[in-house]
Amino acid sequence: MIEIKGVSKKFDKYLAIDNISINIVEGIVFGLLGTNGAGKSTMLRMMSGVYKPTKGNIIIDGQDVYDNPEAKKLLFFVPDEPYYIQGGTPGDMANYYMTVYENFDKEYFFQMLEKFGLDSKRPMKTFSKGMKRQLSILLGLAAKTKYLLCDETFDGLDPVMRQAVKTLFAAELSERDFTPIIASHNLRELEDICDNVGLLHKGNIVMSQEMDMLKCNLHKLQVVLKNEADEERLYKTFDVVAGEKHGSLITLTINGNRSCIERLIADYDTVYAEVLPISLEEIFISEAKGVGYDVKKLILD
Amino acid sequence: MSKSSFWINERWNFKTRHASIILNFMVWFVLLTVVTLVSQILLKDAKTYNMAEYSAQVIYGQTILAVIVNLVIAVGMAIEAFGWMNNISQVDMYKSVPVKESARFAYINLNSFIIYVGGFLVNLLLEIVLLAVNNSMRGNVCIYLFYLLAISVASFVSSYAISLIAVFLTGNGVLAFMGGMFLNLVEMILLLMWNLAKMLFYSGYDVSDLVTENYIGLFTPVCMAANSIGHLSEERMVGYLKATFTTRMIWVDLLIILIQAVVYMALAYGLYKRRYANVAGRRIVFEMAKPVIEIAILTVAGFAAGIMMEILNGRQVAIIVIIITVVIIHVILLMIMDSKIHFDVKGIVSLVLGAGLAVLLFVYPAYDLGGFKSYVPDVSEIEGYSVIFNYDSSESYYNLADDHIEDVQSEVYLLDDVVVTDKETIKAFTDIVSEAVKNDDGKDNLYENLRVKYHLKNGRTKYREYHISEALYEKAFKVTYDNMQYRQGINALEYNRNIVEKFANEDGVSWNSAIGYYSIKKAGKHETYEKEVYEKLYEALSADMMDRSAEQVLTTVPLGRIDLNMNINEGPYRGNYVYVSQPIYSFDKRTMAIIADLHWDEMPEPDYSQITRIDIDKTHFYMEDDDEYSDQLDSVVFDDPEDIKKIVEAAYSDEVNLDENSSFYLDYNYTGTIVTGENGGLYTGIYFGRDNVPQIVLDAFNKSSKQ
Repeated sequence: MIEIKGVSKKFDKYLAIDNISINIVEGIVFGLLGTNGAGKSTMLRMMSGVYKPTKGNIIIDGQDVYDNPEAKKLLFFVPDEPYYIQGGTPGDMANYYMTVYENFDKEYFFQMLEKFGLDSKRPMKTFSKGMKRQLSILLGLAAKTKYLLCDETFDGLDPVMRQAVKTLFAAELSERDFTPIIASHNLRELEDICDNVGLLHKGNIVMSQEMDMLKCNLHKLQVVLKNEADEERLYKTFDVVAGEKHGSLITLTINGNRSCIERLIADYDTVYAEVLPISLEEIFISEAKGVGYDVKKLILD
Repeated sequence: MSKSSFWINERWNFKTRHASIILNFMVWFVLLTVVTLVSQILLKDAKTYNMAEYSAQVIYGQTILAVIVNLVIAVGMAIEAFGWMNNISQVDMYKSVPVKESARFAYINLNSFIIYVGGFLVNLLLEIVLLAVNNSMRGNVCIYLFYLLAISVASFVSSYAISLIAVFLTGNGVLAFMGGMFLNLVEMILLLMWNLAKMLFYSGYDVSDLVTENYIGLFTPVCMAANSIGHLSEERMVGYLKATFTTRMIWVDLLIILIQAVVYMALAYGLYKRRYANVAGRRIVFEMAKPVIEIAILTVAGFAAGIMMEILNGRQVAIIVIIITVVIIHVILLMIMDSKIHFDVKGIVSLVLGAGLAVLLFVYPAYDLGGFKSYVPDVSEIEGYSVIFNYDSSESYYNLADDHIEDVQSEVYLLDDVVVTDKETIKAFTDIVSEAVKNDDGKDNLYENLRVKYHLKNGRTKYREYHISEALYEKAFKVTYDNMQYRQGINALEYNRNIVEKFANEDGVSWNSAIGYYSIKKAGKHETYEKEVYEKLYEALSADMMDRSAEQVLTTVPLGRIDLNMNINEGPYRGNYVYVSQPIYSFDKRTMAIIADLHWDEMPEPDYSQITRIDIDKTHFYMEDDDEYSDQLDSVVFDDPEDIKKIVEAAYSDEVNLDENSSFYLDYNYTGTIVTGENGGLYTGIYFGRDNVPQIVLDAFNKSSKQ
């Protein structure tokens, strides 16, 4: 488990991370979401031992991670802009990581390279941005570490590759003790892969929850009432997080499980009524509104 | 980190250091291998002895160049070793992998050392092979090669450690290079500027450059390497190179360099640990370091501007120029460090402090705020004093080494070892110096230079060169010369006695004694190679030298000079000699008796008929409007045979001018030239003693001035 305990990070006078505490349990895919400058990369760098927290501790499986090789053996960091040895090939990168990760699976790495159509002897400077991204993920997976920390990793991957990588993650999750932690500002990218999510905004954690729990407790209700006078009663009946009306169509984001909402709406005389699952984007908009954060700036592809 | 993974990482890091490996090897290939190859080709036809000597000289030169080259290699290698810290992508990779920071620091630096030593040693071995093939690996060559290796490696290690500090303080390669060069050279630059300032402001007052123990820096490897090369240089003799493994000062220098390396490496490690990854790409990493760096640069630049103004005779505006320079440099530094010009309290404080220090550094020597020129220690503080009067540059003092006789630099010996410790003499001497200082004897151009080294009771020494009037100079001479300790100290015959006695009964030694007279009337030279005569003259002259009084030496023109020369023609000391040349006075009774026995006092009369004419010049000193003294020459020609005879009888050959005490007894107002030969083509310079200028000469000039 990764325990983040009261962690803050200051760059001179600028407070990038402000007293964050989260636990990331093993065997899940954890999504770290946030706007640009929210502190995602800083958080990942602290989790991988690149930065030392100004305050607090980051404990990986019981060991403080900063300048601790034993803790770092458990993780592999795929940064936003990975470094590639000048004039080197994927083979050279594998050779380097073999010197520092004792479980690095060279055979797996070269198999995956072949599957992804990457030439192990081709200089990396001739690779496209997407190819470099694929390479860095493959290196991370081949290191066979328990935790894989990915910073904006899916950016630059085409949809096919994105799906392929997700498949690889799923395979690793089923085969071994593996916990990917993926930071992104793209909510839709993570929606179908993350088990847990944490939302960072301006250095603070807005929320951290299991995805299923979130989706189970928040729904969207679309309804057309026969009698417009019932509209006011509607808002009183449900725990409405957000609502809007276009013509006679009323759309409400409501706290509550599906069966409960369906039972309550049955008491109304409606032309049309449907309870819909909510998207991750909508979840965050609603949650953030609840704590006074403006998350409309989240970039949606 | 296990031992095995340390070496695995070490090997991996090695693979990323191609630039250093290649450049380092190429530099040493050129400096050691190619230079040796070329020099050996050029020396191909030299004799064996010369071959070894010249090879040692080449290696000595390589040592000097190695220290300079080391500086650039060290800075470059430090930047290459830790340049990755200026790139966030590399920081992400290297800092996230399971490697202990201390281990990473260790193996990267170990690699730098291996790369340096590897390139150096391979080429040093090639150099040795080339020397051996050419039969030059003999004698001192091995010792010089050893010092080349020791000085180079030690100075590299320390220079590299300093450069690391610059690398960790800055966030990009260019600034790191500038910082590395600055930190390595700042002491040397400051010392050079300080010495330049002393030359400018204390002109004629400072003699510290005369002594070989002169302090030329302690805190940077460049200065210390310069010290060790200086000490190595001291081991060299004219025409004969000599060095030993037991040259204590070089070992002390090397030890200091290694201590520096340890201290700077510890500082660098501290900065490395504190330089967190998030500073990658910044220009100046530590905010706290900014004002320190800025003040240091502003001070050096401002001081340099002040020195420049002094050289350009612009002391009146120097302070303004210093301030303008500091402001300009401050703006440039803002652009370099912060990419923008801004003024905040911290910046203004740095600016004011930098300007203040620069002004202080300039004003202190310029206006002698420390009282340097007028410094005379209190008698109670003085253990003894050394002084040089009318310095004779001829080398008369010798030391016996294992396989050669080495010259002792007279100035060094006289200032370091001939110490007057008698309290009354010290008191009398310092009273005279104090009077000169009080009178400000240096205010015009008519003064003598009195060079003094005070040996203080606290173990320290102070050098001064006073400007002192002629009268006080003579008083100081009298006080000192009449002290037996001083006379014993300056007696070269006594100093060299142990060497002469060692070879007294050896075969293959020649003994040459000669006298040359100063008097024109007695022109000529007697000479003998009899050992007995040498020994008799040696003993007699040494005893007479101890019996002379200051009054006698000041007022008497020597008859001439006695040369006593011992030449060793065989054995391990072959080619070495002890040569002493001393003035002889009429009151030197023992010596004069031997000269009389030898009939060396008998000389044929000169052939006056050969003299065509005598030209006498009189020098007039006068004060110009700007309070500076100038001189003007009047000339009178004497061609009457009677006048010529009178002048010749009173005149001394120009060799007398070479005598160390000639300024005491010669009258420099009247000098002349004897013109001989049918066509008047041969000239001989002549001088007269004080109060001994022929009346006809005085009359002639009196007559001339009235006209």
